[in-house]
Formats: sequence, structure tokens, C-alpha cells
Amino acid sequence: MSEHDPLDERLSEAFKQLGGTHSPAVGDPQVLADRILDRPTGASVDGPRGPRASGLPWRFLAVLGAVALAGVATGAWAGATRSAPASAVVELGSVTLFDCPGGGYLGRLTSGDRIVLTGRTADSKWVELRDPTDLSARAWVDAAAVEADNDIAGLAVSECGGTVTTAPTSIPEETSTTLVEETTTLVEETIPPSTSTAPPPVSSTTVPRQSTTTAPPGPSPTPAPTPAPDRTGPTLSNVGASPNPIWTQAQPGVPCPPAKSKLTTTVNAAVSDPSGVASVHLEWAVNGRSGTANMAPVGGTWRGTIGPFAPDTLPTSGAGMNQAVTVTVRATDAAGNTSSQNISFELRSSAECFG
Amino acid sequence: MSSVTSSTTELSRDQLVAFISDEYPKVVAAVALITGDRAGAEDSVQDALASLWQRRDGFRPDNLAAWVTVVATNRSRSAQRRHGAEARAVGRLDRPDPAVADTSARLADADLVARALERLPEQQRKVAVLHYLGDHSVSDIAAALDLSEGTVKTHLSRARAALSDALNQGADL
Repeated sequence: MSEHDPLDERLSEAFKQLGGTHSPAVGDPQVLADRILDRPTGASVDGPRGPRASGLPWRFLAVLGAVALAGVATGAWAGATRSAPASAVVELGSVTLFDCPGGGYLGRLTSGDRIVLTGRTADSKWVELRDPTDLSARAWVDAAAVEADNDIAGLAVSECGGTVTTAPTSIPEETSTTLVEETTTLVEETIPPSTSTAPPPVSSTTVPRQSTTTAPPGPSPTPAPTPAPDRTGPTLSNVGASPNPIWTQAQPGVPCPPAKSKLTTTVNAAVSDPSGVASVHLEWAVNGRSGTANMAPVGGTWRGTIGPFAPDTLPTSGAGMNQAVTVTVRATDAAGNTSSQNISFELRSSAECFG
Repeated sequence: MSSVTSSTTELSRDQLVAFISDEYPKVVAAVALITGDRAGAEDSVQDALASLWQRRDGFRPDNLAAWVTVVATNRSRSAQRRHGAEARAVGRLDRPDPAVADTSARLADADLVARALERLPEQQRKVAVLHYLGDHSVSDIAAALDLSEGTVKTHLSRARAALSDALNQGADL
């Protein structure tokens, strides 16, 4: 089946059209990656899937880790999430989401959907959850319609709008001993290391929270840090190369099939810095050869391309036919600070196509 | 026939982001074309990715896009069987809308191919989509489907002939 057969070309074009018709809008890959990584998967990777939830585009699955993460970020909510029920499964065939108990209609959940609970009414007839359509918002459902993993009495009593009025009865001692008005910030993003000078993560929802217990005074609240001069390089994250692997350019007279004709790879990196990112470039090396390439910001991500590689970049036989290309992504901020991160991808010899 | 590499390196979040940026839309489209269930396709692909990224045994498919396509297709099929939705799903398969479709040959071809795909046997449809849309080689398709390369070539040849017939008949209309 020749690559240049008119029928194959016509079919490829038709499939390309169909692919475009059926391709979803991805939005921000970072957000989608987080959702996928937070997705609970009870079944083995090749096994049958668990009970299927609705096919609604906003189908929501439990993000227990995110809630726990939020608690760790503040130190106050962490204790509560350890003992409070944090997730539940929709039990009835179809459950209505409201903006407040008995309030306005938001949408529907379907039997089997897993939700994250964040509070309850004082009479425990309604439970508050993270709104599946907007993870930074809150919604309410009839408590009888969901089956919580634990007793919902352990949930904090909450009011419509997100203000927790009563701390959970099961809140651990180390949390309940503080008598301060604090702000619990629920974050959707990975918490940066404590040594990082990057700005704090963007908060999606702020929930004023006050403990009602009287207890010995705890440590004083930490005053807001004074911004320090920027002496650190940009923060690099989500650095990766795709596609991976790629191949060297075809050997003369030996064309590779399309799947082995990927000759370049795109290096992506999320780069941020309080002072602003001045430039990002990459340096690569493989089998005694090296090079550099500039990276450019594309939709919030810095991108650069590596390749194509000449046919003689790698040996055409033996173990050296496949080698790792080491890549250093180096970023400089407006203050002149630099930082870098290393990754690698695989380069294969197109001599494979002999086989 | 195994598609497992010897690598024990766990898949990183960065790799997932890269896959989403470069491969995800095409993989979802491939699953939707194979199963006829567009809404379920995205769900199944995310499910397959989540399962793979949560594994801790070092499993890494040789061809990630092909592997995810096949696993997500199988999952979508299982869900369809459980819900008896297959027949309905096929009817939901989006095609270029003839009411607004122009008369360009490319859209006409896409429509004819979409209709012909629905009539193909499952394996032929999988192989055709993996090859023409996924741009995967015969060997990669064989590994992903756990078939011999000869079997894949046979399926591809038959699918190609059927799709060719569909295009030719469409041209005669």
C-alpha cells in the first residue's frame, strides 16, 4: 500500500476531515490533565469499566485528593478532611443540583456519579458539594439522594454561599484548638514547594471559616510575608516533549511508514516568574552532537522544536540505534535570574525501516 | 505479542499534558469513529489515560496513542453493551451535515467514509481508523490489537476496498 496511492491519499484526507469533526475542544491541557489524574479508576486498565455515569459533558468524578490538598495548603482544613466524609456516590437515578438548599436549578447528576462533599445543612437534609460544572463553585443536593462514604454528620455545617458556620464535630484537636478567624483557600493547582518564591496559587474559592470551640490559644497567625527581591529564576513545570519517540530522517531509498516519519518533537514548558519571563531556550545533546533552539510563548506555554536529525545522527545498527536525547530547558526572568529543567526523549534510527 | 516496554519509569504529568496537547483530540475522534459514540469516547479515553497514569508497575505501551485508542474503544464498547445503547449510539454519529455541507469533494468523501465505516465489521473499522486517522503503522496496530501483522493487513485491505467502493458509488450519485 503505497503512501502515494491516490486512494490512500483520498481516504487519509477524508479521515482527517472526520477527525476534525469528532475532535473535542481540549481547552487548557493542564486542567484536563489534572482532571484525568484525579479521576478514580476502580477497574484495571484493561478490564471492564465500573458503573458508567452519565455521558454529560460535565460529568464529575471525585477529587478527594484535591480537597485533601486544599487542607494541606492551609493547615486548618487538613484535619477536618481526615475525618469528614469527602465523597459520595449519587444513589438515585437522577438528582437535581441546586445553588442553595431548595434554591435555583443548576443541573442534574446521574446515578453513579461521584461527588465531593464540602458541607451540610444543620439538619443534614442537604449536602454541599463542589459544583461539577464549575469546580470553584459550590452546589447542593438532597442528602437522601447520595450515599456518602462516611457519616455526613462529620461534615461542617455550611450555609449557602460557602460560609462554614459550625466546624465539624469530629474536627481533630490540633485544628479545633485554634481560635482565630482564618481563611481557607481551596486550591485547584499543585501547591508550590515551600522554598519557592513563586506567587501563591490562584485561589478558586475562598471560604471564611471560624472555629467555635474554646481552647488554649495556639500559635499566632503568621503575618503576611513582605515581598522579597526576586533572586530566583523562573519556575518551570510541565516540561515535556511530544511526540516521543521520533526518528532520524529517512535513509536514502528507504522511506519510513507514516508512524515512523515523525522527525521533530515539540518541547513544551510552563514557565512563570513574579518579575516576568524574559526568555526561554532549550539545549539538546545526543550521540556527541548538540544544539540549541529558542522557545516561544504559545497560549500560555513556551514551545520549541527539536529536529529533524540527519540520518547519520545515530548508528544504523546495533544498540546505538535508539538513544536518548537530553534536553535542558533554560529560562531567564526579567531580573536576570535563570533556572533550568532537564528532560529527555527517544531518538530512533530510521534504519529500523529496513525491517 | 506484547506492547509493553521494559521501562519502569512511571509516566509523568508532563507526559500526560504533552499527550493531551498533541494526541488527545485525534484519539478521541478515533474512538468516536470506531464506536459511534462521541460523548462516550471522551469519557473512555480519559478513563484509559487515568488508569494508565495511575499504574505503578512500569507498564508503558510502545505506541501510547494506539494503545489508548484500543483500550478506550473496548471500554466504550463494554459500557454500550451494558446499557444497550450501541444501536442508538451509531445513530448519533456525527457526520458533516448535508444540509449545510458544501459540495466540496472533501466533505463529500468524509460523509461517504463515515457512512461506510458504520457498515464495516468492528475489526476492519478499528484497523482503518487507526491507520488512516491515527496514522499508525501496521506493526503498531498489530501490537495494539494483539493481532499478527498479516491479520492487520488483511483487515486493512478489506476495509480499504469497502471504503473505495463507497467513494466510487458516491461519485456515481
